[in-house]
This record gives sequence, C-alpha cells and structure tokens, in this order.
Amino acid sequence: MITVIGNTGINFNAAAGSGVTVALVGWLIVFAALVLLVIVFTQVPKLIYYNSRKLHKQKTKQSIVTDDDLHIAGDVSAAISTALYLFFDEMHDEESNVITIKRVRKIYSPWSSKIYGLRTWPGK
Amino acid sequence: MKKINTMKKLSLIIFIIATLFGSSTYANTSDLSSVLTKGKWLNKSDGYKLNAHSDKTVERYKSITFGIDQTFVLDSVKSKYSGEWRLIDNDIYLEFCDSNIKTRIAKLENNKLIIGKDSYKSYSGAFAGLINFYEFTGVSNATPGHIIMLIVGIFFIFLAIRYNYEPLLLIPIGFGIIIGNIPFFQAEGFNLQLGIYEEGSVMSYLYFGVRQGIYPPLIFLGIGAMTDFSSLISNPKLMILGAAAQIGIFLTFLGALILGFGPAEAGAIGIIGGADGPTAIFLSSKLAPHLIGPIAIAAYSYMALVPIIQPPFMKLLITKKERLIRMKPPRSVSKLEKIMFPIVGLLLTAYISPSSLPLLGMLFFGNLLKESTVTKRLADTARTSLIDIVTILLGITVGASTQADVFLTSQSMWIFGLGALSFIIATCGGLLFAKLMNLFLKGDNKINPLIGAAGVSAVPDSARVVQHEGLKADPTNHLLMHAMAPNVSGVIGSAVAAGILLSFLM
Repeated sequence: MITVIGNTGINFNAAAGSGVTVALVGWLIVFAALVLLVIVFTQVPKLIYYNSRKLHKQKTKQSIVTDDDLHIAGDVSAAISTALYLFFDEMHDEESNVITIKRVRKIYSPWSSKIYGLRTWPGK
Repeated sequence: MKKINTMKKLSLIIFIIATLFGSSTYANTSDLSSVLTKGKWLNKSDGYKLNAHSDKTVERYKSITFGIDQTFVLDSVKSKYSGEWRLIDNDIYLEFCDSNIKTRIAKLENNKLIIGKDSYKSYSGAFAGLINFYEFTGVSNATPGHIIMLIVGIFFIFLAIRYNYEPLLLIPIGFGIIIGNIPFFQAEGFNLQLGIYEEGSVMSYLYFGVRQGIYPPLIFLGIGAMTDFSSLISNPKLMILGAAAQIGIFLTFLGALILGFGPAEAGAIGIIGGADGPTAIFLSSKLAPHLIGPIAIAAYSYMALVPIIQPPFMKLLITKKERLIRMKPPRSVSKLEKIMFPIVGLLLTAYISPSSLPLLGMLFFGNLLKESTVTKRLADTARTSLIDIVTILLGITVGASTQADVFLTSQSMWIFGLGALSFIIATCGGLLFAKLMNLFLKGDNKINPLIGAAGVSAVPDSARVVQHEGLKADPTNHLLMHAMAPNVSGVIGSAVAAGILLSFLM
C-alpha cells in the first residue's frame, strides 16, 4: 500500500537518482563557497598588514612575526575601552560648580499682560 | 369568552406567521400567478466550489423572482439569468433571454417550486433579505478549520507576549492568521475582493511582495546593515560550521522526495532547515508558490522555537568536558577588512551561485552601507524603518495566507513535520562538525562544539541559545561572540543553498 502524501506516495526511488546527486552536489557547493571565503579571509590580513609586518621585522629583526604581534587581543582592547569609557564618564563630574542664573528680560506685550487677563471685569 | 380570546390570539399568530413566511398558505390556491409573484423563491444546494485553490464544495442559495409583468430573474452565485414566464396548464414555462439556454418547465408541488432537480421555497422579501445577510456573515461561513487556525493565531500571540519568542515576527504572523481566518462568503467566480487569495483585494496586493519574492531581499538588506561580521572575519574557520549545518536542507530535500513531493516542492520544503524565514519565502515563491504559506509559517515557527528545539540535542551530542572549552578571544578587525568583506564575499559567493544574488547582493550591500561609515543615514534607514516596514507587511501577509480552506491540508502537516526534522538535522550537523573540527585543532585553537548549533541561521536566537547553554556549563564562559560567526555564516550558507536549489530545480 502506498500512502499518498505529496503527489505520488512514499517512493524511495524518487530520491535515489537525481535527488541524491542534487543534495550531494548542492551541499558540496555550499561548502566550497564558504571554504573559499575562509581561505580568502585567512590570507587577507596577511596581505593588508604586509608592509607593517615588514617594518616590524626590520625594527625588531625578529625572524618570525606572527599575527598575534600585530593585533591587540580582544580582551586587552575591551579592558582599554572600559578604562577609557570610565575615564571619560568620570570627567562629567569635574564641573566648574559655578551655577549662574541668567537674567531673562521679557518684552512687554498686551497678549501676556496680566492687566488684560480674563479675570478682570470689563469696564472696571 | 376565554376560548374566544384564545382563538383570536391563535389566529393572530397564524396570520403573522403567514405574513412573514407567506408562502405555503397560498400554494394551493387556483391563482398560481399571484402565488408565484409573491416574495422570493429560494433554493439551497451543494456543489459550489469554494475557490480556485481548494476542491471543497459548499452549499449556496439561489433565488428566483417572478414579476407581475411576466418576467423572472434567476440569481445564483455563478451568474444571473432573466427571461419571461408563462402559465400553461399549471406548468410554468421559463423562457430565458439567453437563447443558448433551453426553455424550462417548473411546477408547483406542495408549496414548493420544482425546477428540474432543484426545489425552491417561497419567502417574503424581508426574510429572504435576512437569509442573504446571514449567508454573508462570518458565523454562516465558519468551519472547524477556521476555529483551529484562530486558536493557532492566538497561541502565536500568546507565545510572543508571554515568553517573548520572536515577538517581532510572531505578533504580526499571529494577528495575520486571525485576519486570514475570519470566514467570509466565498464561491468560485464570485469575488468580494476581501481575502488574500482574491484578486484585487488589499491583502492580495500586500501579498504580492511575498508571492514575487520582493520582501525577502529587502529584509536581507536590513539584516546586512545590522550585522557585524567582525567575529567571522577574525576567525574565518568558524564559517565552515555555517556550511555544515546546511546539511539539514539537503537531507530534508531527500526526505520530501521520498514522501512523494515533486523535486521543486521538495527543494522549497528543504530550505526550512536553513532556519531563515526570508530565504524560505524567497525560494518557495520561485519553486512552489502554492506552498508559501505552510513553508513560511513552519520556518518562522521553528525559528521562534529555537530555544526549545536546540538545547536537548546540544546536551545529547556535546559532552560536559567539551562544553567547558574556552575559546581564544577574537582579534580586533580593521576597518579595511570590514569594508572588504561584503565586496569580496559577494564576488566569491555570487559567482559560485548567481541564483542567490537577490539575497546575497542585498545582504552584502546592507553591510557595506554600515561598514563604510560614510552612508550612516542609509544604513540607519535599512536597519530600522525599512526592515520594520517590510517585517510588518511580510508577517501580516504570511499569517493571512493561512486561510483554513487553503492551508489546512495533509501536505501542510507533512511540511511541518519535515520542517522540524530539517531543523534538528541542521542543529546536529553543526554540532557534530564542530566536534570533528576539534580533532584537527590543537591547544588554544580548539573550539567549543556548542557553537556548531549556531550554524543554522536563526540570527541571533541560535547564538543566544549557545551563549545560554555555555553559561549553564561554566558561568564565566561567554560564547556569544564566537557563536555569532557560524550564525552569520549560516545566513550566507542558506542563501547560497537556496541559489543552488533554485538553479538545479527551477
């Protein structure tokens, strides 16, 4: 007995031929695309920092320069950022403590005049 | 006296009933024409197809009105006919204006008008109007399917509000389900322009963006403008985990083929394993437009249920010792690398799988808007207003597309089953591949296999689940940043996989 689910029923032969090929090739292509990205982005930093690597090499005259020498580790940069943030945040407290009250001059206008307010009886 | 009063009351009641339902009492009178021209003759019969998307048939009324001027109007859902009627020996001859329709003979038997197989009953004009109104109400057209879907919609809203499961998606989808399952009068060839599947309705216009795959690339633009790829750039090898998890897509594709779905349908169902709603909608709109509703609902539901689906398999496949692995903090990534990533990434992936260009193009474009730092306004619009608008439209229309008569089929149930399986396979694929990678990595470079689960896209929920599970094992081990790498590579991977399936199966 065939259980009708999609259009025909359970059929292992349907997946056996081209189905397996599509699945396998498809997955391999996804893999290939992302592996290519891995390769490229593993090499990109080396190309970008080629000059600085060279300079570093000349200065220190070290034979082996690794990526670690050229980058600040994440936790170190996090610590520096936190320190800077706290420093600048603290700066807020160091104010002059001089509180000035500015005198504001209001130009007279009958629109804001208390004399012509609604509370006054007309004719008084 | 009492008896007389009771009789009077009774006759009054009979008179009122006779006036309201005024039909049968006159049926036996000799003057047939006065009987015929009084009120409307209604017939309710089955056999009306609900809509073009469904094979269900329903009962609908048709009416016939006889005029004193010897004309009649036969009005059914399908069409309206008119003509002239004549009385010959108690037979009513109906001659249609349309010369293609033969003259029909009707008879009046037991207060019922018999035309062929159909029997009509006479009602007063007011009562016929009430019946007509009732036929158009939601109450009259409601089916158990509508009620089930309404409960599902309310359940989605409950999950979003009570448990905060992807509220930005589940609220619009949940409410969309409610909108889509308000029953209304439907019949093939009769268009009220109300439902999402009725041409010319507002909902149908909004749904156009889903049907034609317009919304998904716009969502990807927003995602690109939101995503920080630096964790990926700093540790590119984690990108492979995003590829490994895509095994869910391809194994489910095989599973769907075995279950009897066509290759294109199987491809659209398989993409649920990519755990990426927009990608699933994009691919199903191209490969199997008739399955968009169930596929989109399955993809988004499982994305929302990531915190429930993934942890058991993480516990099952990853040992306590492995869960404690601490990963090296990611290195800082320069601005140049961040700018290069979207350009190089697009070139490499789109050249391999050009069919995924609408998704990948918009994803990387959005990211370049963000990383270039000179188009802040555009990036802000893409990651806020634009993505919000598209999410609203996408969510509400995908929800409304679950109209019970179209959505509740055995196929939809199988799609849900396969979708869950796909998600599980993808999660396990990522976890196991992370374990495999550890066999080749040494010392500091070892990875915590938990992050493999983030290879299924579902940004950022699956990364959040990894962080949560990591903290359970070691409260000081934060895996979130590491998990974001396979998570975003999963987005790229599922888009590439969609492109491949599209080019193979379309």
